[in-house]
Amino acid sequence: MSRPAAAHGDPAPASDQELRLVISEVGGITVGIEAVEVEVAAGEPAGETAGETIDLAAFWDLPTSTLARRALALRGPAERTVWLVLGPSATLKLIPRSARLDLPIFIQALAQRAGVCSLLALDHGLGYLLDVERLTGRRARGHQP
Amino acid sequence: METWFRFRLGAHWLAFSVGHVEEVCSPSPPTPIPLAPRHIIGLTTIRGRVIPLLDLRLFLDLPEAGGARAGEDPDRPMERVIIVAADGMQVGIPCDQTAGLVQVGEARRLDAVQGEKLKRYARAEIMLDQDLLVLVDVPTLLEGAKVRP
Repeated sequence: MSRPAAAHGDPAPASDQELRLVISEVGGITVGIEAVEVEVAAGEPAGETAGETIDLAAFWDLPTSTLARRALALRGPAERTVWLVLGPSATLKLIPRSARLDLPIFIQALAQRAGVCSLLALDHGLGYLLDVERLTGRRARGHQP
Repeated sequence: METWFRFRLGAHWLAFSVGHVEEVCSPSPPTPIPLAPRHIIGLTTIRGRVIPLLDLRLFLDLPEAGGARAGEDPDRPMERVIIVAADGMQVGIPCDQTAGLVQVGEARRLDAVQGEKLKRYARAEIMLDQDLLVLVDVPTLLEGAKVRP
């Protein structure tokens, strides 16, 4: 079972047995993002000052409303800000490490192409743990598979 | 003699070697996979295992028996999914009907299979109860259906 973590600004450390993830949804697909620091914006970033932006719905070619989306500013090991545009909700949660599952061999290459590093067994079903470094690297290469 | 598990996909009777068939089950609704080709339906969980689902009809370009792609129509839940395994991969394949086991002695290519893709994955064919039964090679099928890096 996952438990809600603190809102932005609360240090609420994850134990050794837990992952501290932002859980959101993009086009009906649940995603988790692990980051050292997360800042949730009310809307989408605009302009060059926003830093690098990844619209996950566009990248995954998923239908999604252009309204009420959120962007996460991920500041982690990449030492740069990456804005990740997601669905309307984004919740910080502590997830047991045991909920992180290996990708089945059959879809490994596919998932990695989509910027996914592993699966998440969440309370309401399966989700995908995003590999932000892979996503940003892919963007730098022009989204070529 | 080799034992094969017989099933129907639309108008086609196909069979997998029983050594590659783990079980037949009714899985939970699939979770879509981002960037997946159309023949990969999604992921499901079966007793704690995460299993990718392959729409074999779409992958083999077999004509539709009517209705939507497997798993897409809520009025047509995937009641029969064959879980097959080969080379460390486990995949679920929805089908329209299962027909148990059949012992096959000497089988050979009859060149009666329709469809280029089905031919590619057919190990042999036999006539059974006036129907053509295509014996599908599971390891070759899974290797061909998976997405490459």
